[in-house]
Order: sequence, then structure tokens, then C-alpha cells
Amino acid sequence: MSALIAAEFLKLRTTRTFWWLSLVAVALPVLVVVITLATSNTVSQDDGRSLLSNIGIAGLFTLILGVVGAAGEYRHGTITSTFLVAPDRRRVLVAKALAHAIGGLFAGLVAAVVVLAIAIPWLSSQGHAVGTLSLSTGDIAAIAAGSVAYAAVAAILGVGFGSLLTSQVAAVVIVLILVSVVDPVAAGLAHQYGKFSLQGLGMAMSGNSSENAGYELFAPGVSGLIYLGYSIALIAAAAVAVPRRDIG
Amino acid sequence: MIAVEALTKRYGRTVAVDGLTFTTRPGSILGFLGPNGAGKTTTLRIILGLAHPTSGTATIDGRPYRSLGDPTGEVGSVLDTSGLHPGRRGRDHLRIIARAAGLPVSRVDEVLRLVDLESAARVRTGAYSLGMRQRLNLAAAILGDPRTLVLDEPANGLDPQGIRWLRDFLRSLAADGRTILVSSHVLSEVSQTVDEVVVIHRGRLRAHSTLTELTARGAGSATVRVRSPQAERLAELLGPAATQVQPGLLTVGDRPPEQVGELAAQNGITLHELVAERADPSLEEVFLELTRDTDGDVA
Repeated sequence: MSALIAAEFLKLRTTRTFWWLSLVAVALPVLVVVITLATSNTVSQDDGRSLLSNIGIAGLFTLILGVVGAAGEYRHGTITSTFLVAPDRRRVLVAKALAHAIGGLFAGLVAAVVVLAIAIPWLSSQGHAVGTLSLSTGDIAAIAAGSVAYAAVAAILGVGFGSLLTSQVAAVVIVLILVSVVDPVAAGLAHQYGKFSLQGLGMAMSGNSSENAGYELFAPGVSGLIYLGYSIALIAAAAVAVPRRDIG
Repeated sequence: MIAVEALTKRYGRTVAVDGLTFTTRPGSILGFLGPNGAGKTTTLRIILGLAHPTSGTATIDGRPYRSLGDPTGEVGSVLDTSGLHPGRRGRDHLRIIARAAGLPVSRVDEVLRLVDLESAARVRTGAYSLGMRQRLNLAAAILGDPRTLVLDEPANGLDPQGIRWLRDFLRSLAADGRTILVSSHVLSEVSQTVDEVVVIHRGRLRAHSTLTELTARGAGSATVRVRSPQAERLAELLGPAATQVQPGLLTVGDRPPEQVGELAAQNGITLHELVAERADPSLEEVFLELTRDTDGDVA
């Protein structure tokens, strides 16, 4: 199994897609944080929390990373050599999910480190040493850890979507519509839905407050478990569908 | 050894493979022939566990591909030229397979050398020519040093030098005692390489024999060429067996030359030429005959 995970991770590292998506996953949260710091005054704990939880933006891109990594194999036909080396397709699926989780974790971790490295000194220079925002070091660590975990499970969810849908373009479009249109609209119509939506769960994991989201959120840990549950459910569905499939 | 038994594959109402049975002989090259759409690729994909048969079995050394303990070490395959990520370097493509199969990276460089692809090893496959992609796929196939090879149209898109290279390459692989199953829709591409052929058409077996037997199939229709100033008289005596090709020249079918000569002598006909011609059809003609659309019946 470890050989398969290593192979899947090598697969990930040897395409430019991974590096570009990781770059965006890091650059976008950093950009948002820098713009926020430069244009507004951070005065409250809520401001600080919402500022730092921008690390969670990385999760959207690691989700796409998973989708592209799984569906891309069908797009380019590399799935053939994948299944020739490892005919047990379920094992491949699990290895792929874990490799992408590692990739997502990596991107999320870099995003968190860079954002914190910029935001904390910047806030201090504005006279907001971390303590004065009443965000404890523990709070900050929880926001960072939650965001990194989110980036990792989102990649697993993406692998599930990509493996089930196989069409790369369709899978990316569907996931983007789901997260950026269906989730917010549905949450706006029925607030109860918000905390179960991919968007709501991601926001909660990366430390956003309910006020920030505009609807009630679960605690970060609970949200993480629910998100992981979705991811596992999707991988399980793929584990049923993929072995039945004729390749080529 | 690859054994295909009563293999059938239906896609909806279309029957791609229809009760196909054949086995490869260990250490020999079996040509798997048929026109495009005959069911060759479908059969190979079933053998390799990529597609599911509707009924029947396909095994390698007695086991279905999916139950092989070390597939890369037991079977190598080339399926098509598209299975490469255009943004990935050729060497990385092989490294991934090697990693999954537990093979050392040194083996990757070794096979790159064997297929003459070292110079392009670090080039992204999107920039590869069809021939280079074919070589990379062959490199992947032999990565695990398998005893059995399954190659689907490996000559496709190769230039004459490439085809010659492939022929020598396959011969050297077979010389090491490997069993090779190689498909093609052009008999001449493989006729100099294979020991035996399986010909299929519309998913059904049309022939399984050695090349010599295949040629012999069409033989027997010997003709006799006769040149005579009294050709018309001779033609009358021979009846429908004779055809006047041009004034003074006949071709006679279904009669040995002795019989024609004696008949001429008995009737006082002068002969200027009496030649027995074996109208051996070319392999290609036999192949075309075997894969002709005669609805339903199997040769």
C-alpha cells in the first residue's frame, strides 16, 4: 500500500497542475490577508479571527486538486497504466485519496505558515499584539490547524468527485457550482442547511464565526468530522463504481 | 501462457467479441489479426483486466489478470499511444510505474536505454512524436521484465524504420523465451515477426494457425499456362477449364500440365509453351478472404 501511495504522490508531483494549484492555494489567502490588513483596521477579536481564517481559502483549491488528480487520469488515459500496475482498483482509490490528502495538507500548511508569518508581525506593528485582540495563541493554532485539516479532507472529497464523474471538465464545473452557487443559495433559503454545506463546513473548520458565515455553524471539530464523513462516503461510492467500470 | 476461453463481450446490442477461444504457445509470438473493429482491442483489454467479459474467461498462466500477484513482473502491455500525461516527463511516467511495482529507478534508466529513448527521457510527453510515445509505452511494458507481453497495434504510427526497429525488438524479446501476443490490422506488419496467427472478424475466430498453414489454405488452385498456335482448338477440347487470355495464350485451371500436354499430343496440337503456375495467393489475400463479410458463417 505504501508503494502505491508513494506512486500516487509521485504522480501528483510530476505534473505542473499540482504546483500551480498549490501556488494559487497559497497565494490567494495571502493576497486576501494582505489586502485586508492594508485597507482596514483590525480592532476586534472577530476581525482577527475572520482575517486569519482566510487560510481556509486554500481548501477550495485543494478540492479542485483532488478532482483534477482523479479525473485527469481518465482524461489523459493514464488510468490504464495505473490499473495495469495495480489491478486492485479499490487500493488505487484509497492510495490516491491519501496521496492527495498529503498534497492538500502540504498546500494548506504552506498557506498557514505564510499567512501567519505576514499577519502576526503586521498586526503587532498596528499595535495589536496577538493578545490584545484576545485571540490566544491557542485560538490561532486552532484556526491554522483547522484550515490545514480542511485543505487535506477537501482534497479527498475532490478525489471522490473526480473518480465518480471521470470527466475532468464536468467534475470541476460541478464542484465549483456546488460550492460557490448551490451551497450559498441553499444556505440563504434554509439556514439549517448552511452548517451542513461544504461551504459552511469549510468555513467552520477554518475558524470562521457564525456571524462571519451569516448562518449558524457547527464547532470546527464537528464540522471536520462531518466533512471527513462526506469524503469517506464519496470514496466509498467510488470504490463500488470504479471496479465495475470498463476502462478504454 | 494466455488462454482465452469462450470469451464474449456485448455492449448493449452490439457484440464486440463472440465466443472467442485461443491460447498462446509459450515462447512464441502470436499475431492477433483482424480488421479495425473486429474486437481485438476489446479482447486485449479483457485479458488485462481492464474490461469485464459478458461471459467466458481470459487467464494468464491460469489466473485472471486481476489475481496476479505481481502483474508488472508477469505481463507487460502496450495498449494505445494516448495513455500519457502530456505535462509529465517520459522518465517520470516510468518512475511512477516502477514505484508502484516496487522496482528500482535504475531499471527505469535501463529500459529507456533499451528503447533508445534516453535523449528524450526528460522531455514532457506532450512534445513526443507518435513513435516516441510507442517506445515509451514499450519501455513501460518491459519495465518489470515480464515473461508475457500483450501489445495492441504497436506498429501503429511508426515509420518504416520504426517498424523495422520494432520487429527486431520483438524478435529479441521472443528470443529470450517470452510469449508475445501482438495485434495488428495489417498482416504484412507482423508477418515477418510472428510464429502463429489468430485471425478474428466481427469478434469471432476465423483462423488459428501458423503462417505456413495459412498460406497453404489458399493454395491448390494451380493453373497451367499454354502457348499454342492452335490455342482456339485446344480451348474447345479443354472446355470451361480453359480461358483464352490473349490470342495464342490460354490459362487452364483444375488440370495438371501432363494432362494438358497429352490432350494436345493426341489431337496433334503444337505447343510452344506449357508452364505449371501455382497461383499461391499472398498472405494478405488469405487474410482478406478470411475477414470478408460473409454474414454469419465461420471459416
